[in-house]
Amino acid sequence: MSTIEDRLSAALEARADLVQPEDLRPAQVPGPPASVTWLRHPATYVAAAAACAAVIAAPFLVSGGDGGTERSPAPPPSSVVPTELPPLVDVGGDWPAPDGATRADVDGDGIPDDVRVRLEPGEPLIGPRLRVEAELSSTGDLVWAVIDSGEVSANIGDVVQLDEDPGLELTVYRDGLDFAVLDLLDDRLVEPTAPETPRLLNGVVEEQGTGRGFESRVWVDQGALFSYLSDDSFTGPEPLETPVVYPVSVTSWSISEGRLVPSAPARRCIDVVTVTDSGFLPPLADCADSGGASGTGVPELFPEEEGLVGLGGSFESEIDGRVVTVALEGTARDGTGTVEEGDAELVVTFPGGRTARWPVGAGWEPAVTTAPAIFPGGGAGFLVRQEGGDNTTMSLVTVRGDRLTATLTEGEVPFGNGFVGASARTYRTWIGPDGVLWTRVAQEVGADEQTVYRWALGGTVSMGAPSTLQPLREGCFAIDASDPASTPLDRC
Amino acid sequence: MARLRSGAPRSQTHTFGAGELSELYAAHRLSMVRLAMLLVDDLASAEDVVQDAFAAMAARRGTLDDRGAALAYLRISVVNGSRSALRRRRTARAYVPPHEAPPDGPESHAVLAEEHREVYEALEHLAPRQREVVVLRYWSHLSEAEIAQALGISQGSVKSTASRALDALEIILSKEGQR
Repeated sequence: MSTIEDRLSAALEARADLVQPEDLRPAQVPGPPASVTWLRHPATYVAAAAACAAVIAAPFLVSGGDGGTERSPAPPPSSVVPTELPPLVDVGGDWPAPDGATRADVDGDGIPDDVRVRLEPGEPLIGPRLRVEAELSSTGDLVWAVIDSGEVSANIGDVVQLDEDPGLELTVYRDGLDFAVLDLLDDRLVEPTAPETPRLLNGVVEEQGTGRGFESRVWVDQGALFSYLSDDSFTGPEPLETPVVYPVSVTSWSISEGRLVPSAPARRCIDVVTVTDSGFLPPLADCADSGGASGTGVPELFPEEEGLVGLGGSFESEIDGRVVTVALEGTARDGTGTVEEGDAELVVTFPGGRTARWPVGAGWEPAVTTAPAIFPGGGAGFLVRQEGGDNTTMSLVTVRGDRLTATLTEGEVPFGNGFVGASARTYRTWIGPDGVLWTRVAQEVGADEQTVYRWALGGTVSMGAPSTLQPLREGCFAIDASDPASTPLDRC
Repeated sequence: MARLRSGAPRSQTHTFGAGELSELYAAHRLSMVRLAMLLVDDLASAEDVVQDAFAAMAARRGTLDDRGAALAYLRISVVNGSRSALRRRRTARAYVPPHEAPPDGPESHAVLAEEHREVYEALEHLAPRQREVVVLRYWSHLSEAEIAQALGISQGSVKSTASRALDALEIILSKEGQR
């Protein structure tokens, strides 16, 4: 054992040895009649049920199910959607439980209880409800709750410890719906009232009106329940095309007074590059500065890939393991150094001779970088530059299968070379080592301090639809614009 | 999400009776109180936790498989009971001024040798789950599988929790050493 383990064992032994038999109260072997705590004694349930009903039901809307409905006193204004207690009339006891019993200590007596999910029969796969039931080892009682099903499948997820009671709470996965949390409250399984946001959802939370979505995840870590929602929205239906590093708001959950209570959100970053061994847990890491990659290290921004081929030129490049020939075909207008629509095309020839073409837009005479931009999450493309005067317009043309698609850019981070708005603050975009695509924006006119963004390829899973370049803030760096490659890089 | 682990099937070959409960009480009460005290840190609470654990077992004794199962059940109850006691104490502390907190009993830390006291006080900075794993591993000398069963977590979680706990203790103790 290591030194710390030796010291630990010795300290625990010494501490434990301070308790000697003479320190203990007189021995009294418990007997069964006095041994069952009143909270768990079946008879107590019966006797106290009526008296306690109003108090227990306060946070809930009480449903008599098939037996009728009564309501608790009006909830306070801040209360959210009330939750049903299981109906008094047995419902679903004969529904099939295809997964059989799993085991979880619902009543907190230290012995796992049999827990089953019974699925209401229905079409096309299952009915709209499911019944979760637990056979309590402490009393032998069968407790249950009926909740909405996902109408595809459902199963018991990890058990969690969300409240003061020693019994564990159940999480229930349902296709397309939020996770349900079920808690034993007296002799019933109940679903604590949940807030509308954040949600306990594994999937996509739609961003209204944009067609984009936020990524939502739920997980259990050592009995604690967590969820996160991505700070940014992404394109595409599920699965969203997310970058390799992006910020999320993490929530931990507890139960208090019959309600699921979310913690204040904590800002972390999903980082699939840095965090590689996370098992079932999401790859969470601390975020750097106000976003972007984790850690305080300095990224390798330079040297810049400077190889360019102009109109009439071509080169070979390797994309996704295939060697392709890339050419810029066409001619510029005489004497102007410009092209109009239809004058020029980026042409990629794949192995076997198949070609794909992308028409260069009107503007200055184009050139294409000979080094492709490569994205860690998958995808690559060529940067077409149209340089004239103080500005360089850039288009990233991605190779997807045998097609060429120009990516979209959006948001406040500029793409290309030029000046921000009407100011003299410069921005510049380049391909650095390993094909990483960068943009830096001067924080002030003429300043070395520049905010650096790494571009990630978001997009859509719809075939043929354009992807979207998404900027990830890497941080502020002092960059000597006159000779960035030979100047040591420091964070601001 | 991972699915729940299935529990081991119970043997029906032997039941646990009143006489065996008394034997178990005599044989293991002290060790269980020590275990609880390492988790809750005061003797009175530890005795309550253990008494409750034996009481719960008395209610169930006919359904426990054998002595080994009973001891495992007892240990689980003590750990769960200790966790509940700590929660109740945390809740109570939210309403009780610090000077009204119960003082240390006669088994105060002051009786510990200096080198043990430092380590033991460092334990107080661990998360409850970390402390449980550490106590079960380095005092109860349970295997990872036994700890996993006692705490209702995976063996992987036991391993990672123990590792983090040891890292945390080393950091805490190194800081203490620099003062």
